[in-house]
Amino acid sequence: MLIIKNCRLMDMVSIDEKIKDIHINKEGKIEAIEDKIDIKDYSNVEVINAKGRLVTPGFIEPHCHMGVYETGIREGMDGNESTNPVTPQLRAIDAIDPMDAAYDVAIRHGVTTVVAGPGSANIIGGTFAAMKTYGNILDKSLIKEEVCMKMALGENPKFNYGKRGKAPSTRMMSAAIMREQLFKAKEYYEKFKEYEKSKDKSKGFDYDLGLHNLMRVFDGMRVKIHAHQADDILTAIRIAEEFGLRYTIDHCSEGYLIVDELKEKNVQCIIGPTVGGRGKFESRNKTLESAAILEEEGIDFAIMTDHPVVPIEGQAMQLALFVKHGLSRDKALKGVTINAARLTDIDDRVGSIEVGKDGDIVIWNVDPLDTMSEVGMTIIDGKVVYENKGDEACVDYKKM
Amino acid sequence: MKTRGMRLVLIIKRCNLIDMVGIYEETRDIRVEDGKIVEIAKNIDPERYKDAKIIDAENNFVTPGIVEPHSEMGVREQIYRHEGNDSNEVTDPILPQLRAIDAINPTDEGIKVARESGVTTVVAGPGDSNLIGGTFAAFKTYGSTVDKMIIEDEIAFKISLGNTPKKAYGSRDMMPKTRMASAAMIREAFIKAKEYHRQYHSENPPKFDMKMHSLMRIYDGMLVKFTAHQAYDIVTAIRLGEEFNLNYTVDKCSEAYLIAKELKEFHPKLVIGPAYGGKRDHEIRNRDTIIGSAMEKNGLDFCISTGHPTVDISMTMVQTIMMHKKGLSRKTALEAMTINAANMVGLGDRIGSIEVGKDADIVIWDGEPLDYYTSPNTVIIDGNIVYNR
Repeated sequence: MLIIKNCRLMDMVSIDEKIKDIHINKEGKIEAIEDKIDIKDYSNVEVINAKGRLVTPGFIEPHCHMGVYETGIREGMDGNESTNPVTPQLRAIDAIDPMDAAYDVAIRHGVTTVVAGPGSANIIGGTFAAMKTYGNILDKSLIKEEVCMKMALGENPKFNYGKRGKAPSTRMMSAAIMREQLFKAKEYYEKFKEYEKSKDKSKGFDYDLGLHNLMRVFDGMRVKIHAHQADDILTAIRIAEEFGLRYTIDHCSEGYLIVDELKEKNVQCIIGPTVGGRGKFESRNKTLESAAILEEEGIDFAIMTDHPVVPIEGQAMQLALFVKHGLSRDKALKGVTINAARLTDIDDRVGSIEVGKDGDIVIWNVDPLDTMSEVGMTIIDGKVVYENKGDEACVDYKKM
Repeated sequence: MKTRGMRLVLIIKRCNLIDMVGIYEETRDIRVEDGKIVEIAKNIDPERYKDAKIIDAENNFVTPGIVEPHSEMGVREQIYRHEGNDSNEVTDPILPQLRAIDAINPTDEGIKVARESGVTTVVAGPGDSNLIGGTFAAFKTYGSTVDKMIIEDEIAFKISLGNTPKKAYGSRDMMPKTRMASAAMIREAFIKAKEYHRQYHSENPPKFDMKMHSLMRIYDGMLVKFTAHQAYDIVTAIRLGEEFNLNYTVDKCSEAYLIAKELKEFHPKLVIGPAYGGKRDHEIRNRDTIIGSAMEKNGLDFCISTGHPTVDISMTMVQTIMMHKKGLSRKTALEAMTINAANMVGLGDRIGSIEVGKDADIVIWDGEPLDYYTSPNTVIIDGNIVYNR
């Protein structure tokens, strides 16, 4: 049991910088948020005094490859199974190494949940996992083992396969492959539902692991579609609407150029990584002003680092630069908390400080959007997993 | 800009000046004539220079332009990653005859971004794939042809240690496949160049050899930039530099903070960075922004580089801020990006500080330079306003 006193609380729902006490029960869930909790009413309770420092929910990284691409180890690169552009049967959980040094970096920078998955070499890459950033046994750190199905349009698949003389080598083929698989999965889905309903199961069912995994998009599993350029974003929307998918447009570098379309279709996006260079043609128009434009137009979005593209220690820095270019403080912080949780379907557990949710909390020595931002303490499931003792490297290199 | 007599005069009033050589946050006016700084004083009367262009810095911070001491800018272009990539000639690991100046595209967007980020001088060269990659060029970040932008067409040699040459050649079953071969091949080239240099200055000049003709200049004091990330590669670089008595710096230096105390006795010149960014490679896995404060605490001579495009040049100040957050002092941080960088590439007599006689490369900021929320208001190169927000 843990009580955090004197929090300057931003719960990401309704409380904006008010002094509150938080009680986390022994199951690691938030039990109460009150103006004053009397510790005398509890025995055997750990008490932390936040002393009026800013307290937010643990930050969420809604699209990354942490643990899939491991830090600095070529042997640990499991991001792209670029042997077949259609691999919906793959699951990130089978590749994630929870001992990757990046998790240590994450908790030192206030990131308590990551949604991690395969890269974008394949048209259909496999599923993303949602997990906490603490613990050595993945299965114990997981929030949901498969949260979203990854799909990709644009340069990556066509360069990966095209250069080897394989399909896809054009955007036309990429879209055709995506549609073909969705047609097949739809047919498979209907057959499987029929089979489940049928009384006579003696004939058995002709299972196909890829289609079996993929058909869940027709039961509402969210699809994360990698698209940078406006034309690729529109292709993604076209196909998603054709098949009635729940989806987010991930990266969405040129989304700000087609806001009317995004608005009309109620498109949800996860934008980023936006700091740094325009290393590829499809991201040539990315700009830090995009977040402010999307906010002004009322588009629903979260913010990603795409770790290791922008390493996780840069999450707060990227937010600050979005704010510098016009994004509101509120939307910046929500972009890595409640909105990030909601757009990856884990907001029942994380993303805000509310009664019943997981006790994932960050006490900030210096506010996250300040240049000198600094984490004081990171708490996951009611357990203190990091305490800042001052002047430390981003990561304990001895662990690497 | 108008002329006074024949001279182009620019006066910057009310600077909160950090000149990098002694004046630290004091109010000064600066007078520039024909692209050079000619006067720094508490009050320069603009009335005396009737046709001068006057800028009011409004008590904002004014620093020299940032100097990027090691990059591939213009050689490996932004956006056009296939068409615009001329950084690694991976057909021969020893290519001292290559020159970055022949590949730099002045329309690369990186150069514009550099200028708008307050970077006024860039040293750019070949990538890391070859053991001896060719020469770096130093240029200003404004102009339409590289020849007009250039300060020094060949300012330093690129020598690369570590994993990258191994990967480029070893993977094709060519030498070098190991660090042993890398060092051996570099030593062989250095020894041959030394002999060529001796013969060239003797009565019986050698038969022309373009590789050696270029490389022999290291024995006339031309700078050698060793690229090394891991601690033991940094030490190999020092071993080679000392053996051949070279004028050298060790660049990138990702793990230098792990051996900071041990490095002190060698008095190396270190170009650190990129210290921020993805760590997919084994040799950069210990990259950490704590490196800045580790260098400062141990009294090591260092400057800061982005290695653009490894860390994009737009992030040059962000990277330094990250070092500042890990304990690097503000004053040392700013010096490491300007005067130290200029000194380490041998241009300290022309750029890197705001002093009388130096090039008028000046940035007027809109706030504290070491703050994410600050941007350059005005960037001046050779007395010309090249960016105004």
